[in-house]
Amino acid sequence: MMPEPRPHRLRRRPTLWVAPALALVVLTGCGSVHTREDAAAAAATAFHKAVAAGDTGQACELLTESARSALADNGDCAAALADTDIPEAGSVERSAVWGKAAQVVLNGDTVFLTTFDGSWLVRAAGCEPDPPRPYDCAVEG
Amino acid sequence: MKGALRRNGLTLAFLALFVAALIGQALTGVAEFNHQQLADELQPVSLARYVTSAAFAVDVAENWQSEYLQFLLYILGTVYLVQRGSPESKKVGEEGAESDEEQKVGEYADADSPKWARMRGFRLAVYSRSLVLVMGVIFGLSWLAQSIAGLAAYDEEQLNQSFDPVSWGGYVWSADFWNRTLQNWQSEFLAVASMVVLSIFLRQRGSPQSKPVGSSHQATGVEG
Repeated sequence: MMPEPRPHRLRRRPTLWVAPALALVVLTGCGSVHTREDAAAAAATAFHKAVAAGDTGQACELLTESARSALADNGDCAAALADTDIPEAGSVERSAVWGKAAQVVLNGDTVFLTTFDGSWLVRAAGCEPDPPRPYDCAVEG
Repeated sequence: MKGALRRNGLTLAFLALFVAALIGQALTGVAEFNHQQLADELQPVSLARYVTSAAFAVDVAENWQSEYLQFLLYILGTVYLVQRGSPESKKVGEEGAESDEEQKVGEYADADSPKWARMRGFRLAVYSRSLVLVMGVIFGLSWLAQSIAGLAAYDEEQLNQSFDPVSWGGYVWSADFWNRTLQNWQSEFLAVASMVVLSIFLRQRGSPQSKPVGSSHQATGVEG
């Protein structure tokens, strides 16, 4: 005998109430973004001040390892940086921080940074827009 | 206790599978993420940092939204569309929201019907659509979460590749957002269509998702 049809209902997977929690986690994760933007801007400004002062050794300390390697195969970052055309830069126009990466737009230059052990280091500097390609940077690691 | 476990076994089993799979996703995700970080000469992250990152959140949310959309459309689709021979479908000719008598609402409600099913007006209208409404809200929130987490992950990648970051408005029109969305949707839609069609001809003894093994291929809306 054919069993009596049961009411139609969906019964394949349980309902979960976690999406709002996810949105909350994502949003609260951005809570300290202004502090981080300020810190990234300070690192970019410090790099440019060191370059402008001719203290390329100090400026190299503010570069990521990969940027230093890209700049000088022989390891003499300070000398290589002195020979690199980094434009002069003024005040900070805007900063953007997403995760462990940042972009600081200064009056005269755009700098890209990344965090290492909580400190912002310059990954690329002397950058000019080259759409639709990435920024064309004098120093980039 | 044992009785409660048995009565709720289906829910509990799938919740346990969900947690196990989410943990597995986190462990494999952080390994893959750090592999990419090292390839880009960037610093690896801890598991705790990864599970609170936008990269993990967007991967989770994009799957959630597509699952809830699948069920949302399935619930709505099976109201108005039928498939002859499928246990997932109503019988041909029964398309639509059905009569109050068939739905046991208002004066046709049983003694043990939910309270709002016995009422008329706004409460009955809401309760009659409550499953779709809740699934729709969860879908919407999941999709919103995908867009927010996706923006954060996308912009981090943009900055690491020396591109300008984009706004939320720019991101929801981006190829990244729609590629993540559509690659999930296509698989969900295929799975539903496969389930509807395969259940016409194939059986799983004992499963209410299947017709009884001996049911004819023409039998529609019959569950095993």
